[in-house]
Amino acid sequence: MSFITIQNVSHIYHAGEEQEHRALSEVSFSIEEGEFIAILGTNGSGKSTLARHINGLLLPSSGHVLVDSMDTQETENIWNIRREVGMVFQNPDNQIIAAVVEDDVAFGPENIGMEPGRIRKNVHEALETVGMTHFRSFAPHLLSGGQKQRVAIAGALAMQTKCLVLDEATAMLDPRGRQEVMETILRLHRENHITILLITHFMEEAVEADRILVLDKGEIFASGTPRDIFSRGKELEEIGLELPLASRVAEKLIQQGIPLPNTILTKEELRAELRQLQQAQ
Amino acid sequence: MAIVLQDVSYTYMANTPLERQALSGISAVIQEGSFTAIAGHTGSGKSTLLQHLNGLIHPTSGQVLMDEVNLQGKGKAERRRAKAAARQVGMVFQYPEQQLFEETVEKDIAFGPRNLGLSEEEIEERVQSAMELMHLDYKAFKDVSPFALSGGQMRRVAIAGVLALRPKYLVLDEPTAGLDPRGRRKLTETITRLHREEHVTIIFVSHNMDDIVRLADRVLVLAHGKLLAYAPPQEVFQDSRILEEAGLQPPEAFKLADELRQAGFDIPAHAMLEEDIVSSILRLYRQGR
Amino acid sequence: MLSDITIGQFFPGDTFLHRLDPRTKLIALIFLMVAIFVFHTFGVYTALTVFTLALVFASKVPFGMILRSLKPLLWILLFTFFIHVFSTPGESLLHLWRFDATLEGIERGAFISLRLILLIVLASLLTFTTSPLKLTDAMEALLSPLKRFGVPAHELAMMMTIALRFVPTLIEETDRIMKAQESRGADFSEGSLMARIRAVIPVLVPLFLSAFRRADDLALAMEARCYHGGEGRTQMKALSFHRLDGLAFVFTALFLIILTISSGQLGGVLWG
Repeated sequence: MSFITIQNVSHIYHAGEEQEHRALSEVSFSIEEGEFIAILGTNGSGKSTLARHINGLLLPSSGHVLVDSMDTQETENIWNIRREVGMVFQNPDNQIIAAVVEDDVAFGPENIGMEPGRIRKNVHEALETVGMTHFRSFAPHLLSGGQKQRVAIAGALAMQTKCLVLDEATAMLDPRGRQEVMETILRLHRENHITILLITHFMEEAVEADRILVLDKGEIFASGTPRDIFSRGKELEEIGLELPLASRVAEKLIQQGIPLPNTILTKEELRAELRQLQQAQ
Repeated sequence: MAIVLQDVSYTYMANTPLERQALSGISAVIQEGSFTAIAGHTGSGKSTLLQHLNGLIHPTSGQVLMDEVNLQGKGKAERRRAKAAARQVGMVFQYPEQQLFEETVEKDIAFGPRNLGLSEEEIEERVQSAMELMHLDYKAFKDVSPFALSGGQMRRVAIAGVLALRPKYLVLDEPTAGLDPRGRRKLTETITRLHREEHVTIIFVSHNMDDIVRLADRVLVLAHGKLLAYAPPQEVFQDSRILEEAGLQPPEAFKLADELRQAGFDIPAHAMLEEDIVSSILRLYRQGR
Repeated sequence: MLSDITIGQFFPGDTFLHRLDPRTKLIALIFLMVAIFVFHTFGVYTALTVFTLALVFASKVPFGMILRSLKPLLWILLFTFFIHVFSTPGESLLHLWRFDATLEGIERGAFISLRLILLIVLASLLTFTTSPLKLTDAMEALLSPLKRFGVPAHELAMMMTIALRFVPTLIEETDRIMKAQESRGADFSEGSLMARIRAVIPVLVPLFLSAFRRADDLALAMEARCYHGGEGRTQMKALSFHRLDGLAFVFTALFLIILTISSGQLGGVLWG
């Protein structure tokens, strides 16, 4: 049994009303514990809707979502599911509740009735993990965007979450903030074996994932390793996405008749392939 | 004609414990017709600098001249002149869709021209042409509520609301922030066309150095409220010290070119666009054969 | 202007005022406020002023910050002062149209203004030295006996917490939207009253929309973090009284008793 299973999930907003809108149709896939999955898609492709199904913020109009063998549609499971699946949202300003960093990190554990001594320990460890210990008594509005998002991640970690869903959590950050957040989640994935679900517009971030899921108009358009996905440049462009820079350059060179493989993802790979080509000449 | 910054300094909350110097001694000339980028990481003073360009705030010391008029007028007559001069500068804030408030797209875009006290025909004409410039079909959108639109469309409406003021200079603070790749591309094209075909002077803030190389003819780099560099992007980004001091990453394409150079490929230092790299490699490949 | 608002701002520190249990501070504040309202003698006011100044000094909050907390209320203070100067009967010092400024009026005006100043300074001392979260915890704790009468103590406290958290964000936002509309030619400083009221709409509408959007986002984020009301909730920093609180209570009580006796108003206090 996979850690998260999504079975034929469809979601319809405003069902039966004039503005009825089908955001997801018949989506099925599963996520193993410890996996790092990136979800790509343009605005309106259903990414956020899908993300919100995983911790039961939204329930499927049809189909099922199982987290650690718990169905999100069974009300008694919901708090356990949300404890295991932490979520970081797009706007760093709108998810910090308390007026002091450490109090905010404690918010989740307090809600699930954790014992105060343990909350203190967890909060301390979580802040340490995301490198925000120094800022524990700061007011949130004094932090940068990247720091706020790291506080939000700590808030989930303090609940001892097993999985982090990042819903475009880097979209409103500057490059430095994005780098901070990306480094944090990569470390959580590698060292703490936390399952990561990263929803993003930035192709360079998706390159880091074990697996990429591409959504288009509420359906799964493609799924596979970053190498598989980014070798389908034309198709991705048609649905409004782009390739990482190295893949784009390789593709243009291929079009000009240079014999390169179409699976190049990174600068280092492009360099190695060109070098090989040069030596063969 | 130009916007001239003369030794501009600005201090927030002067004479309080929270006093903070946001800009110190900035001097620069932004020529009419240019395409200028402003780079610097968060807190470098970018937003403060932008607000000086249309007189929203005035320097604590130094002055800003807009086509030779000081934006900080003393006395009634001078202030009126300053206000008129500041109107030459259209200001598009970050996430400008958040300033929309009217019931229909048309009314919202008309807000600016109406504040100028123009006639109804003139207002309608301006709304139409501003929408056209932003690729919004007048008939299809004019009576729609701006809040029923997609994020990208709302942003276009908001920018059209500024264009309807017919500014000579258009200042944009991270115009593509938060858009998806398609939205980013479309908006960038629109802005380029405004510059090329409508001859609007563009001043934009961006965190994307690749965009800056592609679009701007000069980049103004700020760090800790000081002017670090003001020159063509290819020149500035070749100097790794400037980038380091400003806390900026070089353009992705520059990093790729650098990677290839280290492997012995002869790629010129000014190659900072994807297509420059592609053509350099093609040239090398064909020479090799 | 907007950035002048300091009420509700926390000024972190480690003085004994910061360490006191927020409930102690809240209760003491309530008693001191009552004292300020019921006593009228010069001696008591001197004692209260000295007491307040001593607290300000002990809090290590910069004096400038304290003055800034008075600034938004400057007009109200001046207005109250002059109302009393001109409306109190007594020996006329200055005759203006149909009003007389009197010596008694000046005295009364000064007293009333001082009273207001003391109230504001004490209240802002509380918020300067207490993190908003602790303050709302204290509120919740003090209100919780009223739960059985249907007072939603937890919900009120949570609303306070969130309101306080978003004060700086909304101030920044207002500033940004005002500047954006100003850049589109809106004028907030000129024109008739009606014109000015109309000028506010382009600011209020985006501000409300944004506040609603934030509220939506926040509700979702809170739900995602297992928030489901006060039921079964624990607190990392559960409030607890310490020796220091006991001392503070005893000291405040003694101070108030001495004031009461020395003012010779004992009857007045007891019988209203």
